[in-house]
Amino acid sequence: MSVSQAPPKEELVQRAAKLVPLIRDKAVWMDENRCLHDEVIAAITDAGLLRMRVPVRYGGFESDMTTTANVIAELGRGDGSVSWTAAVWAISSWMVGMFPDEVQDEVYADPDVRICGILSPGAMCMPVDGGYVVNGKWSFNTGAQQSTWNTNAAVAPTPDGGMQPVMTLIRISDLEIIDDWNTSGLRASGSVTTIAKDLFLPAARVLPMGPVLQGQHLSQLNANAPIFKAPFMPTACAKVSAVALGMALGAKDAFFERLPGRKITYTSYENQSEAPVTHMEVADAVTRVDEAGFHVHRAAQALDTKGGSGEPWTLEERARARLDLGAACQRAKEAVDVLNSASGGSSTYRDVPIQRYERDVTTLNLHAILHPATNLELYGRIVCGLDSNTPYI
Amino acid sequence: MAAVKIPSRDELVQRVTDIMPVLRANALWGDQHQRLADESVDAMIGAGVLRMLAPAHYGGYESDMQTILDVDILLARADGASAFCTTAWWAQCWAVAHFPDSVQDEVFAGPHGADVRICGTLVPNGKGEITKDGVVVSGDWGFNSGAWHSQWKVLSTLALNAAGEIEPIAAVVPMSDLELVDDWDVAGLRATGSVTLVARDVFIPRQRFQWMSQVARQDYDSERNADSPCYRGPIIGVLSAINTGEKIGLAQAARDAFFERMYGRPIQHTGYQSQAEWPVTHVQVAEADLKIDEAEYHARRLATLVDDKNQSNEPYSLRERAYCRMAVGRVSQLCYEAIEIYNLASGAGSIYSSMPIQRIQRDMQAINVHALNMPAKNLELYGRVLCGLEPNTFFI
Repeated sequence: MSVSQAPPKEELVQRAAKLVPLIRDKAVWMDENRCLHDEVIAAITDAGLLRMRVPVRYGGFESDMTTTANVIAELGRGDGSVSWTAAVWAISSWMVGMFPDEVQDEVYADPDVRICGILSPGAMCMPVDGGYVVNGKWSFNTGAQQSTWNTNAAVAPTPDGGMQPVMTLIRISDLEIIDDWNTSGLRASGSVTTIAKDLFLPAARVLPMGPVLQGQHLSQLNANAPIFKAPFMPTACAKVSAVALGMALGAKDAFFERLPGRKITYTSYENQSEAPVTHMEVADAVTRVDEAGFHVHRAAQALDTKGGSGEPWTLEERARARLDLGAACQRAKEAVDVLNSASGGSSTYRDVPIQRYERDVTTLNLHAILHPATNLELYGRIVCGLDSNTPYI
Repeated sequence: MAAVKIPSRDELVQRVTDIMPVLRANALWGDQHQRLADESVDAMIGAGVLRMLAPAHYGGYESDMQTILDVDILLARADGASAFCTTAWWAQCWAVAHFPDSVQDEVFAGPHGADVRICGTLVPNGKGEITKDGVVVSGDWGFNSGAWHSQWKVLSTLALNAAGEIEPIAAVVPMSDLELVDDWDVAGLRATGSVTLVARDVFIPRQRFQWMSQVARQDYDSERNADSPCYRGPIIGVLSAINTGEKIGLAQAARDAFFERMYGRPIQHTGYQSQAEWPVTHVQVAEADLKIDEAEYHARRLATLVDDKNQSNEPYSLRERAYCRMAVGRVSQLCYEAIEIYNLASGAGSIYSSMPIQRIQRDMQAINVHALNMPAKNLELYGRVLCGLEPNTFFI
């Protein structure tokens, strides 16, 4: 296995930025066909962007969170679904790094491997000789048809008769796919339903989630790598928050691209850009985009700063990672809503990008982990001295 | 003049932390008496706060904007009016540092040294008659925050320039030349004592006034301060950067006041025995906290912009100048919204005059209607520039 040199952080972000025109060019096709375009996947792969969260010993880059988030945001400037799928792949390729080293040898044999994943436990793992038999169903399985592996949450019995959350690692080819992804937003993410029927998994491919959520894992070789020492939820939150930022940046570009020459119909304004109402809207939206960026970068910085130190995370720090995620989604949606509403009747056509950013950011804001109100409530509970009301922190 | 050791950022923060109880203890008195308590002003002088933007030549600190921001936040967390007056005094200290060195000798080498307090406003009023060796000024100027404790004022008025056009001038005048009208009977920022000052045929020698066109060109008169990073750059940068911390500190004070009372309070006429357990509270405090955090993000970004420009001596782009205004407007807006959340969640018991939160809310309201803070105005200006239009104000 050859170990490649990780490119400098800035270069990865620039590589992502260079993909934006291609991604935008394919965005309508992807929205209609409910999957990513092969050329887009090939370009992301060639740019090395699938290796950011793969261990260095397999040719991965172990990129820090600030770099990873900036790359995901750049992809989102191109298209929300591409960004979202890239974030899911980044989360799941990191998740495989929690598994025993021999499992990693198999999965990361190709460092550009695409691994998707689901956090909601949708299946039951029953212990059998040498492993488990899995039965269950996972909806919202982003990128499943364009991935090789899948990390899927499930539950398994404990020796004392209880149940514990586990993470399974399954080959996509072992799952049945139900193409039910007919949605208003994030259409190109192809987040279909997948089903496991009496599927045998060796024990090494079933990972108890309790320790992982607390920041412990079964890999010996990743034990000292800063990115794998970081806790799971803040890591995942920072990645998906960057998707919201990327969508807002994309909507901003899309708005300013159409602004010159546009009138305000049925008024005396010959130029929308000269209307004081537009100035208020633009200033408000651009400022909210900046604020979404602040939340993403604060969350990423917390990971990059604490990552190497091995210092434990306080409950409030974990809650702040969720707050930053909720706030990034909220500010991004507010910004996109303002710009979308200022884009006129002609903006509802399928080939005008801003309506797609609006559908995508709305969908993002409905996700159970990303929903602003859920995150605000959780943070508020902790700040008021109450316990967390979720293990996902 | 003896060189003074300039305290570090950490040391200034510590000194201000130490005087916060004094400022806090006098806040109610100030609100009731429409001026700062002498004890508060003395404490700030003792901590070195009022010399932070005075020239180092006179023992000033020429502090950078990140340090100013740290200090301003802490002052306002203890007492909004103390922070507001300090910002006003800082602004005029900075302005006078651009006058001829002989004028600075008069102002900064007097009995108060670098702790001298100079009040002032930017809005031109009254009129000036240019004479052979100066200008004779008459007029009145409202909103002179900190006037009761000031020794000098910077005023702005209109005069005929050499080209025969009406142009604003900025002039430095001793308080003893002015009449004070105690008209400060207001809803918010009561303790700032922002009274009206009147000039009747006051003669101001030539070296104590500047034409605004000269200031706008950054053609400053001071030779001694010409190379100081603190004093180069346009007025919009520093004046904006010193004007954010007071809002953030006030919002933090509202948070402090809210949390102090929250744990023991039931939600009346509901089954909730403790406000801390009410899910509505959780969303409210999270919403308010993230607004305060975002306000500080803008304030830090602005301070970094100004400090970097001061160090590099690079010119500001139009968009950067517009962002200076936008940052002040957005900080005002976010802090106002955060305070509104905490205030409305504080129950009827919070309206007593002895309760800090109602004063904080009134102070923030007064800040948000200030001509330079008003969010809508700053948003419009920033939006114009983002849309490629020319600014509609010279103050940028």
